[in-house]
Amino acid sequence: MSVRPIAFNADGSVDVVYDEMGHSGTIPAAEVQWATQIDGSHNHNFIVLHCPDGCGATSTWPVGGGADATMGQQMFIQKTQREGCACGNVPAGTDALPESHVRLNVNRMDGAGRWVEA
Amino acid sequence: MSGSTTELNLSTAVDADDNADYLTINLANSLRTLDGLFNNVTGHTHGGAHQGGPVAPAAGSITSGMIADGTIVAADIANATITNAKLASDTARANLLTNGGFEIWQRGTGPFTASGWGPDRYYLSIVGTDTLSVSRDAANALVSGYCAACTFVLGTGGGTSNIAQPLKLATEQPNVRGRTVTFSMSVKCGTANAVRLGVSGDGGLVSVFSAFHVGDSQYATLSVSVAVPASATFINLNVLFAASCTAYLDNAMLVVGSVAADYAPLHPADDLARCLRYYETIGGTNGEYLVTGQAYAATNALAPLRFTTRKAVTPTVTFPTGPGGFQCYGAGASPITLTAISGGGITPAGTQISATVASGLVAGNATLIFPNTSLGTVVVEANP
Repeated sequence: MSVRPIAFNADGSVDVVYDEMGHSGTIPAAEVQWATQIDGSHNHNFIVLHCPDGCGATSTWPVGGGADATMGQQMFIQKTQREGCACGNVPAGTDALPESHVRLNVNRMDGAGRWVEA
Repeated sequence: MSGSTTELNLSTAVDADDNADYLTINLANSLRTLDGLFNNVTGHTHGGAHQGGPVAPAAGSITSGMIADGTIVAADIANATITNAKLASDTARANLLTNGGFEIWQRGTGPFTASGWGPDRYYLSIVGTDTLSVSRDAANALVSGYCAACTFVLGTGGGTSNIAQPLKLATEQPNVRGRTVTFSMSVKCGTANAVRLGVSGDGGLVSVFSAFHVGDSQYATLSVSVAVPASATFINLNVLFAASCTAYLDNAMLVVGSVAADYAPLHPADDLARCLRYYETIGGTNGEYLVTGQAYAATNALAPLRFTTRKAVTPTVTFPTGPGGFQCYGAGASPITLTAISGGGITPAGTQISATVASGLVAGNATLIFPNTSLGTVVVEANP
């Protein structure tokens, strides 16, 4: 199982559970991180979550949603709305652009039909 | 004067004085009439049933009881005419489900008590104040192997709490759309009207349900058929709980057609391979070399990890122990414990492992990454 988001809070933090160990908690917004590439840049296709329990468990989530399409995709939308996209092409904002950008990336990764309507 | 018979109007003598005419005229005519009845000239062929000829029963009048058992042979049946509806349940057909026999429990043996994934490809949905606990169970398995033991307490769920296998038709099994399918499962329960099957979905599909288990504590096969709309994007194959009970679930089947099929166990390699499409654990043996990578700095290495089975979608990759469960080799094959580990560049076929150490790697050198505990695993999860 995965360190998986179960709720998104107004301050950008994410409530998560890690079923395998029975861990749960809240990850601050600043610790919901884009994956880092070999050149140090961020990759807008992946977000890394560390179990807030401190057990060391870490899950890398793909924009397609991986283990949980609904919550996984929503996590990318929330982060992009709050911070803008790691690729630099989409600024922060609550208009339709962040969601459209995430949807584009979902379709590129897993194909049409993977997107879950919020 | 002569009389006559009622049916054929043959002459009969009435008194003594008509003997002459009777014998020479009337009786002769009567004999000719009788002869004519048995003469081909009149169409009489001696082929009628009343003459011992072949029986020609009315069309559609032959019933099963008139046919001796075991006498109909294949040649008597026209080619390509046996429809699915005529098949018995013991006619083997392909199972469209994953882990139909509840044999694979990669996430653990339970108990699973929260909404989420339990046995491979089965999702628990616990509604309201209902409680549901699902565990692997061998003692009550039908025939052999394992079943799912479910302990359910009804709260406010109103009969909607369930354990289900979802099928994503748009991306996974599009050919199920537009077909009639039948979902069946062996269920044992000691409470009447507590457990039934159901199929729900979208595209205008109206949910359908099986009969409830009768509650006799014996395994019974419940089944339900549904015509899947051509526009459906998913269907859920549900086991629904409507009353507090303990139930055992085993041997689920989903087949094309309107007749349920008896469970046909897969070869264990095939059974597991289906499950690995959605969930896989790699590693977990202390010292087992997991991947070969390349250091690109004194503190960093990258390594490609191929999954055993290509995943249904790009998966989530988890390192349950974090970096503490892994080591890599430095230049002198001295083990170095990782300080960070994560997946990246994930595709349905594999992931890149990004490993970080405090020091000790040499840029450009190869390195081996391996678990240093049995808990050092990579968990790959793709739920379409």
